[in-house]
Amino acid sequence: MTYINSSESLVLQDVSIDRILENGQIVPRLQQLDFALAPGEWVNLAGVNGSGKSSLARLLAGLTIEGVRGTWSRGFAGNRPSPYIMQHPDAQLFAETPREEVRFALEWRRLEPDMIMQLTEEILAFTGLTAIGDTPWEHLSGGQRQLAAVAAASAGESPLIVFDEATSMLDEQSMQLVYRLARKLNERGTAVVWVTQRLQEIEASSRVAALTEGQIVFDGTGHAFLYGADDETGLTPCQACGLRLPYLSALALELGRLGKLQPPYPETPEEWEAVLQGIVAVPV
Amino acid sequence: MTLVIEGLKMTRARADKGMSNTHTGALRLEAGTITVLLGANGVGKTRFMETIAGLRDPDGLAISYGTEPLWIRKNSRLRSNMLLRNEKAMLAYSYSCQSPEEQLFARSVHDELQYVLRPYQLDHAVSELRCREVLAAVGWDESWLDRDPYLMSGGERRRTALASMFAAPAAWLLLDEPTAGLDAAGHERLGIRLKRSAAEGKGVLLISHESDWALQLADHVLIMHMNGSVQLANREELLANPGLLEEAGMEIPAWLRVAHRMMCIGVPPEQIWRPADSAAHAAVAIHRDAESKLLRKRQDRRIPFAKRDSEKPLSPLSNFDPRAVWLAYILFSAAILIQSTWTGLGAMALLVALSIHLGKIPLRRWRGAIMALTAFTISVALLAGLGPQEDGGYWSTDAALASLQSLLRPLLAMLLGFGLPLAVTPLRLRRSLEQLFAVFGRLPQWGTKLILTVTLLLRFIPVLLSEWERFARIGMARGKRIRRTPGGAFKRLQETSIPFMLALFRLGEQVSDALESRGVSMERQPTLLITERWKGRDSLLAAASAAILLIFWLWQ
Repeated sequence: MTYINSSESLVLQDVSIDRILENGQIVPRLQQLDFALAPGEWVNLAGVNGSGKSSLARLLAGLTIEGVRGTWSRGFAGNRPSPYIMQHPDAQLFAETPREEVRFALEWRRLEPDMIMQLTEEILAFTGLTAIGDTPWEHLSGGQRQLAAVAAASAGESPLIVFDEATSMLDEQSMQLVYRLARKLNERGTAVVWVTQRLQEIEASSRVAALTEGQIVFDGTGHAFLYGADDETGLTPCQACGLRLPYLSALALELGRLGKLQPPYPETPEEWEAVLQGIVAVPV
Repeated sequence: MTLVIEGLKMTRARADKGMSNTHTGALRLEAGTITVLLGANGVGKTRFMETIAGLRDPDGLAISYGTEPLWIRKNSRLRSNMLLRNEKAMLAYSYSCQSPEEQLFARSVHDELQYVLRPYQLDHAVSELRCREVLAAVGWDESWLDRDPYLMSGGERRRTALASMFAAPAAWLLLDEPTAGLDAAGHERLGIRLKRSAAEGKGVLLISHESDWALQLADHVLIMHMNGSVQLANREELLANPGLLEEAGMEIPAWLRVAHRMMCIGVPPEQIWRPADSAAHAAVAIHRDAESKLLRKRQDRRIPFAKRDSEKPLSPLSNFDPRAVWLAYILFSAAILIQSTWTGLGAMALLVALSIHLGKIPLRRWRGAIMALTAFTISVALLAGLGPQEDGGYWSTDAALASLQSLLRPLLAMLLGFGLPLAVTPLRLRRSLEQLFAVFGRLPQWGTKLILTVTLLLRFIPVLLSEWERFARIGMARGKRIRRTPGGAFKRLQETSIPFMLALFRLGEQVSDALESRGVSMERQPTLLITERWKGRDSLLAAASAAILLIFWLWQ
């Protein structure tokens, strides 16, 4: 395991990436961007398609990107590329079953064969895949395949893992399976970069960095991102980025405007239950 | 125009929580309504929509658009009761697949729109007018007509694809996840446009996992259950009873739980779908809801990692060591190839059939290739038999049979070979090859690289095959080319191959990203993991094949 015990943050400074179109036109993917990620931190990256969030995610994962300018230090993340989970599980699965997949991933970590066999079982148990360890992909759902991809990519302990819209093709239940695994890795000390367009996945207390046209236009808590309206425009940072406010956030915001709700706004169905009870109790 | 699907398994809304109540019946989706298709991952929503669009065999369903059946039976000279697609029904819908921007292949927006309009044979002026009109619907002006989709951003390509779906003058709109990756304005525009289409009398069937956005538009929901049955409900019924989703193996989204509670406290159902309206009402709701049931989070009804219904039995071949399977295959093939008599070949054909049966080798997957090769074998044999003969005739049975025999041998060997990928998955093959070479010392670097490359190629062949089939299906849905003409075949190839090549590049990029992030750099050697052990049954398999070769060799 190349688990680097460094307390230094991963830092990007003045980083730009240009995309050159077929007709010679130059379109910036990232523009003079500064970003820092502390060890063990969880950061959500939000933004519409083409805002540069994927480029930033790849850069943070340490993958090769052509035409990057600027300076960066990978700090705690080390010099190896970090596990990077994409939207479609199929392109990132090389074996035929979860167990084989994890073994294949571990073989490239230069471990002793005995160690590999033992670690494989530990990882399968940790990710909850033991029961389906030998089931081929065509018998598993999209969410289960995505879990296997996470298990193999993170293969043991890794200081950083990047999820690039890893849940966007999954249903509610599968999404939660993957999300909970990410949380579990995070609790164990792995820093997580979670790229998403599903804003209901963002927890009020976690950090959100939002991008528009290759620039970071917001970096703060989930709560401020969803509800912190700008005084001049009246738009929340989320709306300013062109993202659709999910139902519950829109409802909370509206109730807040009507003076019926005080921050912190409810997140779980149980908290909502309490709020709705409260509203009803006050006759208008 | 009503969309009718007969022969479908349907689940009735049940009053009591008794036995599941399914029956076979007809599903009618009315014109002027928006229906949202909901279902858990992998339950077959996309497949269902493709079946409705005539892109897959109807599988016992009778689908019709108004009075036009999607499939018509024709008696042809070759086959009786052949099912053919009905062009009028195919023209009755417009289809937008998942990630529809991947399907674009023309070099301007105008060409792309005209391509979709072509099968409708509209007047030139009318079709030009439609082009402009749909651009407005996605928020663009005429200057976008000449733009090249390849030079656009992902979001702009998506808009082009949606515009091309709205361009066709079809009575039904079928949309599979149209909002994935759209921004807020895009959601808004699409919602307005779909509402307008419904108001104009079109029917809309929509798959979307953004349930809060989709249900705000919906009239009905069509819930797909894990057993493949469907249940039609209007959205207010779903609001009153969100548990319908759990019964279908889905999780109730948090927003729907809250919306349900708001209904219980007296917010009018029609106000609930838009958060701004419902907030205003919730704020003044004075109904006390002593009676409303608290919707507690029930136990997860979906068994984690439940095996899928479609599960096929595993081939017993996968229990053998890959090396044993390969060895057996080589010996068996040799036995086939040395046959020079019809009796011998017949015996071999029997043995091959027996092995396919015992080994549970699914030949269906390769049906196309097998049929093509069989046709090739027969036509070559016929050609070999044709020609001026010594006796003055133009046909020689002997020559035809000789040629048939020589081609049948490799064909038989090949049929057997289709079982290999089942038994020897690419990674197992890689490992057993490396193990084999490691006997002679450490495998050189180039060997590792070569073996890895070959095994990865093998791994992705099925993925590429299904991508090709997907693009071919969607090409048919958009181009409506249902007659088999040489010109049409060429066009179809173009419609399929361009998006396919682009998909290939994307896949390549993703694979290399995934490999890089896993640390599979080509510079280093992986650990050699010994997972295959040669067991008694492996020796038995090899010995049996050797015996077959020996017996037939002596017999010859």
